[in-house]
Amino acid sequence: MHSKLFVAAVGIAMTAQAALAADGWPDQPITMIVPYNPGGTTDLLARMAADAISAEVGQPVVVENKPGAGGVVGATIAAQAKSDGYTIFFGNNATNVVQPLINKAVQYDPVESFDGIATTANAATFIGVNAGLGIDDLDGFVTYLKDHANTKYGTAGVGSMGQFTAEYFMMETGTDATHIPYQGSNNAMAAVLSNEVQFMIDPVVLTQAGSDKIKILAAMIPERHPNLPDVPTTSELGYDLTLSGWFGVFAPEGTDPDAIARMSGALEGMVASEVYQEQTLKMGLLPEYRDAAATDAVVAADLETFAAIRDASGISID
Amino acid sequence: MIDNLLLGFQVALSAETLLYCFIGVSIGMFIGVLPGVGPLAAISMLLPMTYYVSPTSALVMLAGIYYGAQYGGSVASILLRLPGTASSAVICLDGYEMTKKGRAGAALMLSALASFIGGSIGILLMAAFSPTLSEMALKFGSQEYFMLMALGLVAASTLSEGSAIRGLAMVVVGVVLGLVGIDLTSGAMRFTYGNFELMDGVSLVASAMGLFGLAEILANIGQGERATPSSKITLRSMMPTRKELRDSFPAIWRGSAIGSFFGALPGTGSTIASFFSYATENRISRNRDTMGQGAVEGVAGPEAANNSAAQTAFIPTLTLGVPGDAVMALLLGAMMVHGVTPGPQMLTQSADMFWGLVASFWLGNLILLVFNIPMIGLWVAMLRIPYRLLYPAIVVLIVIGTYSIRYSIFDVYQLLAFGVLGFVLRVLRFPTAPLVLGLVLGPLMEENFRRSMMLSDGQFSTFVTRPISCGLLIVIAAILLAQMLLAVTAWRRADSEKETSTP
Repeated sequence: MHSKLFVAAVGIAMTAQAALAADGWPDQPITMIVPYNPGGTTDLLARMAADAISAEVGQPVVVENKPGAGGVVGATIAAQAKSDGYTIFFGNNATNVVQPLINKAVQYDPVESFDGIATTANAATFIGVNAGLGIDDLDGFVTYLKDHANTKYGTAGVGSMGQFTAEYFMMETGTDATHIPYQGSNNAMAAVLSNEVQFMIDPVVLTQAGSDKIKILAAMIPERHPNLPDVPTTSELGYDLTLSGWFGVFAPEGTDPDAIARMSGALEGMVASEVYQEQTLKMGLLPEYRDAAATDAVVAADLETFAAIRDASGISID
Repeated sequence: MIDNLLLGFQVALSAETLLYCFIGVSIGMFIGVLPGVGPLAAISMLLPMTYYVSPTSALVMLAGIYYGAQYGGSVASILLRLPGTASSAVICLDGYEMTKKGRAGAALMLSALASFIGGSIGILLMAAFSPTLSEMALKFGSQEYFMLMALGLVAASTLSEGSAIRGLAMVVVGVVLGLVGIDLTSGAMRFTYGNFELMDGVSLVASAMGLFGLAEILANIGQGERATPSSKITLRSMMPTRKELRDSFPAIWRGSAIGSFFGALPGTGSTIASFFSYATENRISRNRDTMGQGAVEGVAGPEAANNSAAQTAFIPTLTLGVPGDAVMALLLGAMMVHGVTPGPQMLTQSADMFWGLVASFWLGNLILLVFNIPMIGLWVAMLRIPYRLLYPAIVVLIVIGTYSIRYSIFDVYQLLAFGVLGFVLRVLRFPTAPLVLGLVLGPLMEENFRRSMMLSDGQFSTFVTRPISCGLLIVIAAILLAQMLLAVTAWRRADSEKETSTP
């Protein structure tokens, strides 16, 4: 009896506190932690999201860059921040799915430590092969991989999205190639250009559209990319393989749902706007809004997919 | 090419482009002078503002920041032994010695001149041979990069004021420090002790800043107030003597060639270029015996090298769409935001932009040169500020600069640790430049060696069967052999002298 009363009392108190927080929120500037250097893709997207949230809630949203260790430094800081609605985090599937899966030093839990607010864009991954190999299409590429045991692919490093996507592709097509890591995806691309490695599967391949040194075989996204309407999708070609990175806003676990809802709303409007769509397409991305629940869901789903790839290919950092 | 250049100058000389070029190079020069604050921070902060101007103007300005910083970087190196950018660290060695001899003005003048010539040569190569040079860059695979780095390390052992053994020992310390962080090839964490901020390795800027600048300040604290520099700032003290000019020019040509080469290779860049140039001058210049004691070649060569590298770095970025370093990646991102796709088609599809950029680079270099000369007097006058005022101000600047790289207080601790280390090494008479070079080259060398092994399935012969790699190997062997022969002759001579002197 007593304990029930206590629970009820605590429950009422908590609701009251939440309501209070929602009423007053936000009465001071909000900090958005970005786990990468200023000027990069994630940072540019984060700044657009910060402006949109700021316009909605009437308080400045200050971007704080905390780069390091592939985004883990910033994500750790955000995970440990107070869940008072004044610290939010702009992450992606590297910080909120891949790193926790492969990096044993990561202290935060992608599900337990964060509440999703929204996603704002998807990355579009393309399969690019050295043009000198004479591979014309995806079928030809799969045959090539089966015939050439010594094929190598380049990535931006161990545990990079490029490695996961390539391993996924090979897992699903029953092929095999040797992983060669580079310092960043641009150096890996230079290696594909010179045929030091034969292929890569990475969003950066988009920048080689029209090049005579790299042949872009397919896009691993549900629909053709507006920037490259001539490049077919994997599913069109009969390969049911889509795997995309995404970018999104998170709050430390336990942040007031009303505050999250207001921020989600602001981001929904932003993603729908023409200016934003144009801007993200120029950056080679695909604008994609997921609400708070859908963001949590995509994290959970990706954790499963990527864990399966990790287990099959043995990717890890220790 | 002449037609193209005319088109380029038409674009570059429009009032708007010229204005943005001027703004860019001024900002670049200013942040170059500030210790620690590099072009990366400045460009990333200004990037969002450029969305509202035309793509050409935006890129002209952002690029201006990049090469402008190379001009400014050497100012603090020469005056205060404080590298403004990592690529001007090596200029501290002789530049600061020149300052101590009262030749600060001349050193700054030579560095401005070397920068201009180096930059102009880089631009000329870019205008004439961009497609050829990018083809050449693609011929350099992991094996070739490894051999280049090995050549650098062999040359580095001579980067010292004192004995070669001490220099070599410092290279090894640098390479060992370079092991810290996530191993690129395996993903293993090395010497990070669970610290996330060590996962990206030891900070290059913090180490250069600490070992050179902070150590210099620590060493001078005990020595009391220095006498105000003897040199009055007359026009004469600023002008290099005829001999200084004559000695500088060969170094400038060599530096420009070295810089243009390394700039065009994605993944190397101006820091490595300036170290290579210094090592070259240390071996073959006329004044090699006085290197490290204020030889003009030690300023002119590396300064020409880092500026020509800053220009040719645009070649792989613009013609292949492959940026060579973080700043270039940022510029490439900026182009994409503006709807320009760099790559093979840029020369045809966005010809006006490409040639506009080339022409604006040269105008920017000209602005920097003209702008720099009257500034020299002002910079030198800075030396008259008493140490008790100057030093605290510098320490504050270094700390802010280091913090600003990734907004991390941990980097400031690294800076302080390197400052103390630099001071201790100085007292023990160990040279610090080889340490920085080891830190720059070590990780690159390891990465490329292990990648070569993975690519060749563990065959060491891969280094010999590839022609360029084999050629580099022969050069390395020749240098080592020559060094041994020299040592043996010197030893024999000393031996026979001892014999004759003993009655």
